[in-house]
Amino acid sequence: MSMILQTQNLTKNFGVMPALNNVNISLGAGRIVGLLGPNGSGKTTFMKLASGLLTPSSGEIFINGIKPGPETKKIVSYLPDRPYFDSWMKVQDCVALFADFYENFDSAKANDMLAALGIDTSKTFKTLSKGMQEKVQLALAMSRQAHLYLLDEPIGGVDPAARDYILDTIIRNYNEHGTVLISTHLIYDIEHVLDDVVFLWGGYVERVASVDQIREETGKSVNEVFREVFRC
Amino acid sequence: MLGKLLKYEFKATSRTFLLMYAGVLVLAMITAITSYFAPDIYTSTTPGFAKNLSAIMEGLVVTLYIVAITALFVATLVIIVVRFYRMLGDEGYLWFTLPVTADQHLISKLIVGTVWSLASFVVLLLSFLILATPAGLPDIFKGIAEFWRDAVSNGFHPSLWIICGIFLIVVSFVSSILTYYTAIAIGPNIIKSRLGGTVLAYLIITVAIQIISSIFTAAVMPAFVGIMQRIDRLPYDSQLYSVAGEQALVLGTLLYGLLLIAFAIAGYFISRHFMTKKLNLA
Repeated sequence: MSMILQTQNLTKNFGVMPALNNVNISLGAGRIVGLLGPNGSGKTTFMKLASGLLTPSSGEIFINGIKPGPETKKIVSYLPDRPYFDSWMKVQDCVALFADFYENFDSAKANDMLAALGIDTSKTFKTLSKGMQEKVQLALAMSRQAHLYLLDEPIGGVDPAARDYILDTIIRNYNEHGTVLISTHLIYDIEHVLDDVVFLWGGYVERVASVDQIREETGKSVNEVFREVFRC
Repeated sequence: MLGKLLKYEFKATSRTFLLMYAGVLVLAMITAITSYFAPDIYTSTTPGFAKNLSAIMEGLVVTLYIVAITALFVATLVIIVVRFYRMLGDEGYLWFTLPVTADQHLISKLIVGTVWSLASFVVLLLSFLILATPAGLPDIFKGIAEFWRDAVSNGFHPSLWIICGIFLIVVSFVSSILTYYTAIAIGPNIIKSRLGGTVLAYLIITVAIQIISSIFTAAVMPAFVGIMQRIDRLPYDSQLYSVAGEQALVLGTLLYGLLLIAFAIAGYFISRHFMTKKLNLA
């Protein structure tokens, strides 16, 4: 099976503190993977390394066999945990920017999603509420025909109704080439869409397994197992 | 991709710059008009109160104009610096996930920054022209033309001075913009605070540039001393004054131009290194 994302002893230190420690994982094509762990376990760091916003301290990360760079950015769609648009931009400018720079971006799809989420595209991005901003960025990220989607807390800041819509979108967007990596601590909400899970704890990979495997071996849901593993 | 980056960079900055330019030019016009119509405080026959009031108004308008051109200078610098600083901050989550190389980012920001710097400079000169209009623009142009003719008849080439001046202005703008970019790119790698690191990096770079420039000046000084000694030995009305003088000018322009270009190239590659091999967005 071809691997869309692969790491070899991937380590990232901030100062002396390791944020990720010797991470070795391989994600196959066409999977929906949950990157799960408590706060500060390295989820965001992992996503930033995969999207090329951070440089590894040691070890390596490969997207489709190559290191993050302009070539991998064409096929990776990253949704970060923060708003990133300039203050002058209207939502329609954001859509135009994505259409300009990403060949695999579908403007019609984006506009449909924005309409369904009740977003007025003539508004300035900065004037939208935090939840609305997240929805805009998610709609843009999901309107690309990417090979790897990196979604950092895609449902954390939005209302439950929008949550369902977003999860539906992720499933509907599914194709045999597109792997989706979702980080969240709202496991209960997303458990039913996941194929695999990666448990991160203090920068270490605690466990990599398919959801079916976890259910069979423990007889419990991922949510329950998570609560047991990461009990405070 | 470079073209698209340029388009967005101009789009993001043009509104602010064009508004500022309009503001400065309008203020220059108001200043010129006020000073043209204001009664002369010593010779005017206008009654005292009106005379004083118009003098105060004139002073106020002139002050406003000075504030405006200072603001233009500061804002040009601040916008150029902040655009790059933000690209390596939260907005980097957008810019550095686009399928674009670090070279394209650097070049687009550099081109836009240089264009606005030059535009601000031209607007400043234009505003001086507007201010000078009431005093008689034709007279000023006549004076310049006369000076030009005199210079040419004495064997000088004023056009050469202008070329040297423009060359040095462009090169020094590019080089100083790259100095800021380098400091911003290195900043987060020095200390934990990104802003603090950037300021510290800028101080270190400035000191390094000063030291290198001093050494360079000491090294090239003999060449200028040689020219000066030749001028000293020339007979009193020699036409060769102009030749030797312009030799010194061209030599100085080339040497300092090359030094600035060297700084710019160093800054470019250091920034590029930190934007590729050491990129670590907070």
